[in-house]
Amino acid sequence: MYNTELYAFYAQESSSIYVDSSTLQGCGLSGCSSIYAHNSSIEWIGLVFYDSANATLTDLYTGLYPYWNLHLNETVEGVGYNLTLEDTNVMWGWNLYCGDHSNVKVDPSAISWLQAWGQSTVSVCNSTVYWLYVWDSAAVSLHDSWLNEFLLRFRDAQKVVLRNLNPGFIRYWNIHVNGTAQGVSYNITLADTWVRWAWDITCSDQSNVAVYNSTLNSLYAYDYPSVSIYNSTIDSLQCYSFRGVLFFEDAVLRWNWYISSSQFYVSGNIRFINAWVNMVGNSVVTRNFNVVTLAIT
Amino acid sequence: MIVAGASVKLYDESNATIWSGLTDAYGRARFNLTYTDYNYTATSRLEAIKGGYFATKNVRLLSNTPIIITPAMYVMRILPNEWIDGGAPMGWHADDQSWLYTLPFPFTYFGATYTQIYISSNGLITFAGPDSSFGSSRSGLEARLAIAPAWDDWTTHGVHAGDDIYIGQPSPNCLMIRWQVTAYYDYNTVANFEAILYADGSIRFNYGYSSGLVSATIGISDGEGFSIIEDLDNLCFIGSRLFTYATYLRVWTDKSLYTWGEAVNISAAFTYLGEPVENATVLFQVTDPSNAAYFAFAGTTDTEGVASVQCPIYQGDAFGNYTVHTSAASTNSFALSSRNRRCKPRRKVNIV
Repeated sequence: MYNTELYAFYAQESSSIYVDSSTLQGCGLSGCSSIYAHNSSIEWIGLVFYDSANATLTDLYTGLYPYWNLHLNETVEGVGYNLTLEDTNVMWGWNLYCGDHSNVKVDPSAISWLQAWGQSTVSVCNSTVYWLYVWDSAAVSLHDSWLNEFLLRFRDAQKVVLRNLNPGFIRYWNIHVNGTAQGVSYNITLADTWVRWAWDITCSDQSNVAVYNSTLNSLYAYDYPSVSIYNSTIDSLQCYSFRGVLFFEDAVLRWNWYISSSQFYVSGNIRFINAWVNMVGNSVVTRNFNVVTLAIT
Repeated sequence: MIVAGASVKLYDESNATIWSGLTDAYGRARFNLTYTDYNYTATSRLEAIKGGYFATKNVRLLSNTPIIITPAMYVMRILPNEWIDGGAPMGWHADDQSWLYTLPFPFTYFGATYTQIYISSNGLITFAGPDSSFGSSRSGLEARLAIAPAWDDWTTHGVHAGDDIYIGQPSPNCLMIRWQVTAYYDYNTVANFEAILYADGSIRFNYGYSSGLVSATIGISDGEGFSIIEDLDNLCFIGSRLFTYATYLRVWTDKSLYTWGEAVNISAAFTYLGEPVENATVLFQVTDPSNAAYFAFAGTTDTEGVASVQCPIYQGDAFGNYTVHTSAASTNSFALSSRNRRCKPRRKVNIV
């Protein structure tokens, strides 16, 4: 393609794409595909690592790449695709999708999106990660890094107690060390890492999740989970097809509460600070109110 | 003070009772409300009645819990300008910022007691958290638990010398917060205003020099249905605003000591949010020193909200303190009662 503006494309199998003087929101690679970008601007680039891929990625920065080739400039094994950038700008960052038994090391880089699943192992050092999402039995560790947003997802019958999920500098945090996460196979470690908005929590199936003393960017509930929030602040609470139970004790909601196609029960003590609610999709919410009567003394 | 055994009722928007119950020994009650796509913005009215107390509060899906209901409503009076000035500069130079401040005394606002407040550069005092919103409006204040001496798009970042927030204590039982600010939307417009918080829960706003038209929202709000709000475009040395708790029912007797054969003139003034309630029925009940029923009579309030009855004292009645209990129920369904002044029937002759 030449002199083109595109949202994004994904190169797979044996496809070969030449991009010249174009502006892309994003592009991704897998299989044995190849992309050669020249004199272009790309918001994000997605690299997929699966099977037993092994990669050490250094200096995946944002900005102008005079010349860069995945196999020449980085250490990658078991990766069939190839990417070459020539006089091309990467504007936002790099998306890494790490699955199966892949083993990926990142140091230092600008990662816009990091997803890890299967039994992959990802180690990130001296990097910025804008969004992190881990599931299955993947193991992800961030050291001396900067993390913007972080999705913790709990499903099935997982029983989880989490404490002190707050923005700021984290000396050390591990989901299994600093909390109780029965049935959670993935492992996440943050060490000497700054988190900005950080903590997003998604609860589904029949999981049972309790969060204490935390500041959550968002809490997203669907299916039948039981969610309890103690002494914590939530910016955004979203209930989609939610049939479970919400319990609050000294909780604060300070942005929005979006309810769609849900039927659930809410109890406990919560304060709403400049919050608004929207309810759609034949939702029914039963809220238990506590009343305390006081007299002038 | 917790009110146990209060009758608590919940009314829907058509004033039909949808739940009723009693508070337990800890003053607590619980109820469920179900909201759907069609009524999730609905407001229900919660009412608590017990002896001398009546209180009401609105309940919505986004109401804070626990819902604290208390008769601590306020009335506002406009007084002659009482500008104080002074205070120590806090060095809070910013646009759209809110700072945490620890109060020198516990301050009760709408029934809850606070030891810290958040003071914004935009003339807003909040309790639940920092609020640096500049978009002042009546509806915005109604939705907030806040005190707004002059909520507007101000800046203290130093357009004019001295722009800052100043805090002082003119007396030990009050805290003065003074804003010297410039309008963000017009640097030629400046304003000076004060909020004084009193240890007894009263609040006063004072206004100094102000130039130009402003769009200030002033008043108080519990964020849940009770508010006293004004929208003003001129703040220059206008009258001070004093917010005090409303008086519901004040009861008095014509004197404090009586003899056998005299009559006790008992009066009750019934006001709601500072306005007299006319044609309300007030039930006066007097108990004797052994707390046994002694006298009961009903009176009707006049245009001043005052009802009066006479309680005769007969020879042989026990000496000691008699207690007057009153309750009031007006035709518009207000129901109040109070326990107040004591009368002491005592012989003038020396027989004791």
